[in-house]
Amino acid sequence: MGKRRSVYLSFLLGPGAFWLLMFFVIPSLLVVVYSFMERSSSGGVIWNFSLEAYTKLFAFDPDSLFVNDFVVIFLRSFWWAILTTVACLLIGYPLAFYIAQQKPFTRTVMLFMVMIPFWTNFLVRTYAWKFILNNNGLINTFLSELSLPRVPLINTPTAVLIGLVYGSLPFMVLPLYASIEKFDYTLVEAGQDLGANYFRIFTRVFLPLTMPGVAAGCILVFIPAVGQYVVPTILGGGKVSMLGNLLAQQFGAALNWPFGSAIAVIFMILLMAGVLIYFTVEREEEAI
Amino acid sequence: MTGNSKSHWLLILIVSITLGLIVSACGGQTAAPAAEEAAPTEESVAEESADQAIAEAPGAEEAAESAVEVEVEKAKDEVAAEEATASDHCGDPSQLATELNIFNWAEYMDPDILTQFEEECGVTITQDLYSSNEDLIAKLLAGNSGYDLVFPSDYAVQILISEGLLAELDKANIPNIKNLNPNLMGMYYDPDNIYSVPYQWGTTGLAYNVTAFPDGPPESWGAIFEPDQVCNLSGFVTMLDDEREVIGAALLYLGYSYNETDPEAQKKAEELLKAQKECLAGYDSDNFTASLTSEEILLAHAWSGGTALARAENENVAYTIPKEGGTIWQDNMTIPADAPRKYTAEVFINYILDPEIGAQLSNWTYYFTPNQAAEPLLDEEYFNLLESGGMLVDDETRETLQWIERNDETIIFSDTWTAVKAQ
Repeated sequence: MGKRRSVYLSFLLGPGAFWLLMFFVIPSLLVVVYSFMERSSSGGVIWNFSLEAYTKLFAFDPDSLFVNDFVVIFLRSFWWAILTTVACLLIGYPLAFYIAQQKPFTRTVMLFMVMIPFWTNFLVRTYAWKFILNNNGLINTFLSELSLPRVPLINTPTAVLIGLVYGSLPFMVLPLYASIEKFDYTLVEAGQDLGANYFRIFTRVFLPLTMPGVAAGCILVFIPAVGQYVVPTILGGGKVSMLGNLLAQQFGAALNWPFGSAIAVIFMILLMAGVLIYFTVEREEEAI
Repeated sequence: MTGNSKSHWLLILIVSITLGLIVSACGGQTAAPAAEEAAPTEESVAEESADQAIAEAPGAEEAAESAVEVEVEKAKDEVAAEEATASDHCGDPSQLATELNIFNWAEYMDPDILTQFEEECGVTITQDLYSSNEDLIAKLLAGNSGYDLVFPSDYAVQILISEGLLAELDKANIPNIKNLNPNLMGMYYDPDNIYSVPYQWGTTGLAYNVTAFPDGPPESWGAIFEPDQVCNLSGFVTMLDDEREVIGAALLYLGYSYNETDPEAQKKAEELLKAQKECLAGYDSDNFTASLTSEEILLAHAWSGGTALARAENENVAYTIPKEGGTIWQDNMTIPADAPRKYTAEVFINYILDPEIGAQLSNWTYYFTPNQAAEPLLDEEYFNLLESGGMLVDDETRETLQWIERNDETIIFSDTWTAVKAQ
């Protein structure tokens, strides 16, 4: 029986495990190995052990704001991803709440509208933003029609943030909606019976019970946002750098694979640490 | 729930659906011009040159006769000879593949030429685009790119040869090589043209909008590098997205050579570029033609032909080589060592080197042709546009132009570029 069970299990798990091994574990290890190699002047690596990539990544540069420009890119990417997540949460939570209050039909229609943009390629939608934000774009044409001064939008951090929030919003709204929709409203009545005001009911009852949705939304928005490449490239004019751009540049034009790998390794470690901390905290909370 | 609130919801529903439709329609509309904006430029130009080609083809001899120069007469004979053998454009059909994958720069190939070759020889061509030599090198280094024909610039040919990534060309399949200008053959990067034949050549300088420079063209690279000058046009200026060109231009302005690898000089260039970056709209090698045409950009570090393409649509766009100088470069047709369809690629190279096709190509790209036999067949409009736009290279300017060169030291350009981009 036990043997049959294990055959059965390996049959079910085998393909997935094989896939993960071939396309996740081995490439990840390769990235780690590359990061400790010597750089070849024409791309690729020379198979000699070297810490050059890491010393470069953490070399102190007195001209830079903080340690060096690469560390600044890390900080900037994380900071912008945090801003994006917070903005998505502030817009997404009331929206998800509002949708969850509707009758089933209206609800479906509204959710549908949240998802409609997915029918169009993300690249095309980001280009559309470019035409809205351009110097001669929709907003600036409108402003100049009203004889107001133009505002530089395209190729600024603001434009990149707008693009990031726009692109991530559905990933926040959908999980939030899923957890708000499941909320049992008799608990609100119970809170009222116990004399709590709306604010207190929200902070003590509603928010904690919809927290799984908030957490899922935040992770779904934050992680892709840190490594974004398309938005800063198109709306930042190749000038506003995030981690994704730095990575692409090292593997592409700069032909410095070890350095690119080192960036990827540090990036993976930081994200993994973040997710681990989150799960540990959550488990402790559950234990309480 | 009352009937009143029901109709209230119905109203919201209708309004939101309408809004949704408008929004999605707007999305479509704003995105569509993006594609169309570039397309008409290409198409109208392509149509013109195609018309010209059609008009010229039968009367090629007449056109040549009207000119008096001896060289033109010689070329005429070659054209006539070419016409006689035009049927073997397609080489040996038994060896010809049905597909050809080419990897080229943006706006660098007249789509009509591809269609003509496809129709004539029954080969389906797929063209992918890249925006810097470094992108191309990275792609070929990774191996198995699947491309049969790529178009690296001078110094990139040198890198690709040293990495063993290029195949030797079989000259027997490229008889039209005789049409090429001997002065543009045997350059430093491939002295015997074993791996490469010239495709187009051009210069790198400054593209500007005359409305932003009423007193005449910017004389010095200072116009784009000095913060007090470039910041007057803040947000309306782009540099190429290309480490060798951008850092090279900065070095040139600072009084060094385009290829200076001295760390101190590189550091100075880095500082200059970092200061300049504040006032740039961005780094752009792919879309500067469209941005110059729409006046979204008023001053750009640009290539001569891309600027001319913009001028063909908008007369306010002009070009200059600043007094410190600029770059001269030549892009080449080369075949990757692992190309699956080498013979077909060689047949296509031969097709491009045909005098009429060569003229059609440069009439479209507005770059200079290395094809001597094609020169007399170029449109008058082509010369007028380049002349009035400041793209033609006279002997005096030619003296100030430098080639980008590559050696083991030049890897420092990548580091400087990473630092500039990281800021």
